[in-house]
Amino acid sequence: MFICCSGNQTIKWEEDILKIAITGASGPLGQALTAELLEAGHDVRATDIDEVDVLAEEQVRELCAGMERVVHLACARRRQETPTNAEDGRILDTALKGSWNVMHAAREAGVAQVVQVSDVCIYDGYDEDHILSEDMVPLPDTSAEQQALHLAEGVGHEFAREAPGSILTLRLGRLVDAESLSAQARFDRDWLDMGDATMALLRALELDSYDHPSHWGLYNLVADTPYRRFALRILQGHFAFSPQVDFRAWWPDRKEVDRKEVGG
Amino acid sequence: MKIMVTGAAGYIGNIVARDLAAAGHEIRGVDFRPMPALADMRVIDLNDADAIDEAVQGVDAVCHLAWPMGTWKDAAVGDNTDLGAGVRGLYHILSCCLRHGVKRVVFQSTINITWPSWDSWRITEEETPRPGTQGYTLGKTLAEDLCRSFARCHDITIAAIRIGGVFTFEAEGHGGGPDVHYLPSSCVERRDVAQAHGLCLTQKLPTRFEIFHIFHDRPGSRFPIDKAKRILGYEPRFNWEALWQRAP
Repeated sequence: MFICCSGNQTIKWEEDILKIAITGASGPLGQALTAELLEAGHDVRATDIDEVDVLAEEQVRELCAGMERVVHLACARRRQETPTNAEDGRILDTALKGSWNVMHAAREAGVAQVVQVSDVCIYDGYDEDHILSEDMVPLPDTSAEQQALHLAEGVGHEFAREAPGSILTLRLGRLVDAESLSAQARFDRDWLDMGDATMALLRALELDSYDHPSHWGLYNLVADTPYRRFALRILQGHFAFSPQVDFRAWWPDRKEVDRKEVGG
Repeated sequence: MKIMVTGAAGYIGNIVARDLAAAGHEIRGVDFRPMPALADMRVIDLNDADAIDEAVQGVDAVCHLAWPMGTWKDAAVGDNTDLGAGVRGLYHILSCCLRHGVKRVVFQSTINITWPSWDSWRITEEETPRPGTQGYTLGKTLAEDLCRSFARCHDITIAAIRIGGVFTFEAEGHGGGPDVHYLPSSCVERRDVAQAHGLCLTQKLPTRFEIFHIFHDRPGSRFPIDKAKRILGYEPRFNWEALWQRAP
């Protein structure tokens, strides 16, 4: 049994060593996850675009061969401020064809589970005061970024429908590192600490059944603050995970908090 | 109205372009193959977003029929062009429409996205698509969803028409006429598809995003076309009754 610790949260690995492939591992989240998994003694194959381009089907097939889990983090970032058709296309292709390639190759290779990472920003279209949960339909805007995330989830949903339990989609809040965050940073209620995101991914990797009618594992994850607009009930219930960092030092005026708490 | 028809050299698209022109519209054809019958014809690949951008300029409406066909039968081997040229191509078309003030779009979809529900006797536009992971149906489903997002977020009206097997009686058509003794309710004559495209551009729709079943008219159809009849005034000319009477 292996144990990972972060704050006062402990994830226990009951199983043997897992063979885990990671795409997009050179990003901050990928690096943190790789370090935790290696420390826990897992057999990790961490790759970034230089080693495995998710748009190259052959490379993805090789990556998935013999693996038991795949964590799919690879996504295309915008390189220019102003949107261009070419950039939009690259972002959409990486998300859609990339996710399809990874999930298809994983299924062919007999990988038990693909963890797909998405973002809570696809709830953009709801009013400010809505409490949001997993059973509410996402309302993304029409930017390539949000559509890429939303449509890639659609790909995951269909793979999960065909092979129940094979896909877990974790929607993360805005990732920040509480340890290096400036004291002057303006509080954002969709914040999520990098350490919490990493621990949630570890939790996802040990989960083998999902509390969703289609057996598609779908969870929203943001910091547990009085300001949050996401209900963390399913996350804390079936997924059995509670984010630890609540960014208390960055909270706005306390009176504001009380009013929100009373208001529900 | 100046209408851009994508896939204008295709089996259905060339008829849509022809019939809309006959109805008095100005047509700009777009296809990766040339179409000599059209005066304003752009030979463009769906992957070429900048060329699409230029083609959208100056039109009032778009009938989007282009889709990377020819790969879907082999989708099981892992080709996912549908998610690229198909879904990403549609994203570019819709983005360009927003940029250049085009407010009416028809997206040609397929009834195949509801295939797992076909054991039911009544499949309406409300049916939840279950496309599976096959590129063609998955791509068309995601594309419909993309249309829904654009119509929700912007002042653009999009009609998605779900069609099935498209047949023709016209001599110049590809392939032969259908077996009139057995014509599934998911079939439609391509001139009726053209009719639907025209109606989707000109009729007032209840919301900015609507899905319509466009099939021939047959008693006891599994895929009722009541919604298209009611809202668009769609009346298929090549229906089961007429075909049956032509049978030898």
